[in-house]
Amino acid sequence: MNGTIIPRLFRERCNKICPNPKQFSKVIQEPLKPCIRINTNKISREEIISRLQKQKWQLKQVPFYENGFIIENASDDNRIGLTTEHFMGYLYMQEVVSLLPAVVLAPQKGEVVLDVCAAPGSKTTQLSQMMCNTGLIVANDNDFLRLKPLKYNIEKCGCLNVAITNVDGRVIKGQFNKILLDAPCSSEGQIRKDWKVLSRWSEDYMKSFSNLQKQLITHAFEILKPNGALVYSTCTFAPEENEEVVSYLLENFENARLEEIKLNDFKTSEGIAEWRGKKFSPEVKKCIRIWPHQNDTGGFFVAKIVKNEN
Amino acid sequence: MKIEMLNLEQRERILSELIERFEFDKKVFDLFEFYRTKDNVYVCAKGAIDLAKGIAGVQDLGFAFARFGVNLKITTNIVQMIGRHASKNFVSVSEKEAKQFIAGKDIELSKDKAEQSSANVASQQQTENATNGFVIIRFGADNLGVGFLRGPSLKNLLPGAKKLPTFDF
Repeated sequence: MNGTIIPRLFRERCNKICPNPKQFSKVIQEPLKPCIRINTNKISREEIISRLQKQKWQLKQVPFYENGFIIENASDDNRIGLTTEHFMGYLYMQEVVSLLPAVVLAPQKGEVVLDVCAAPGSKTTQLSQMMCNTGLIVANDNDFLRLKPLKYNIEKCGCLNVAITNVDGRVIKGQFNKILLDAPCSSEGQIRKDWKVLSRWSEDYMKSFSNLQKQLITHAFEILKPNGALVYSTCTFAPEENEEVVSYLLENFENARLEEIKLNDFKTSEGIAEWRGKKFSPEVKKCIRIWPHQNDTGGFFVAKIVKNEN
Repeated sequence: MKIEMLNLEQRERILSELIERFEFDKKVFDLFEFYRTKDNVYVCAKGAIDLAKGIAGVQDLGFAFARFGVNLKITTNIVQMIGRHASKNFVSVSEKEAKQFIAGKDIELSKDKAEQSSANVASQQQTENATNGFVIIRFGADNLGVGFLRGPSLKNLLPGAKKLPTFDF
């Protein structure tokens, strides 16, 4: 990543909304530490921690999720992906920030949950274990080619409560207690993992997602049961794909309200209420932004929307 | 996808074959629901079939539990979940053999182990009481997958996508 040219416009945009832009520019050029999720569908937390510690893996607890751990001593020659524990599906490699949406959604045992854009299944399999393999998760993805890795991960993680569908997220039918919409996006927050996101980056590319995201969030809200919760997340910094989308929903549905998101010992910034002269609903301040330099992670955006009964 | 739950008789017939082969405790299956297609029996969480009836376009629910053939073959994914409850027809492998298995290679069991495995007598160590046919491959506390035992030869039945040719832990 070092030496990669960061587009001027991207830098300017981030500088306007990012706390401590200098630190941001430095951190996005550093690689991410690997993170694992313990798959409690297959093994207990205590047992796997004990096994990993015996093998001298240095684990650092992810503060907001008890089954998330950063691997402090991983290297090219020391990869946790090449352990029996990984082969057995006791562990799942998942970025710290990618653990957030399911934690914020907080699904309960026996509920019916929809994961609108599920492939490759990181969040689906996390939801499954959070629901103790009960109820039903509908793991949908409109891309047929992405169903294969989705199915593989569901099977590997022993998720018995997952149904797979291959439908355009704008026309899914059903009624759900909870919905996770981890929307397709321009992926700016993935820079530390894949610098190529910058080679695709342009304002037009970014804006092309915004319209689709508005359609997806609208339909997701329509098929949410009263008192149900919808989590909208992206791995991008662009306000057009984040606060603008959430604000659009709030403006169009009187019974949509945002909930505060509180995370223990994890730094976040509030949502941005204005961007390039466009004012969003002041409620969007309840959304959270995670900048890479705040917790040494990737970048992310999360909003939790609740559907009022009337 | 039309999902038809197995009736009690079908469920009993399928489970009894696997319980007889591996001596699973029957209670292990209490939280599961089963349905079948032409070639496979599928397993999912209890209650999931009813919940999925309200969802259009379901392509998969849960995953494959066993495949029909001359004998019922239990799948790797299920063995990795419930294999620890099997008390018969498993083969405990050494670290070297476990590496071979995960790499996708067949295993030639050592002479002693082969003798013990094919003997099928209760007086042998519990970890060694396997007869020819489908067996569970066990390494320590981990049930790695399924093999087919024929004398001293253990054919590797790990699905292609799970094989790690350069595996070395």
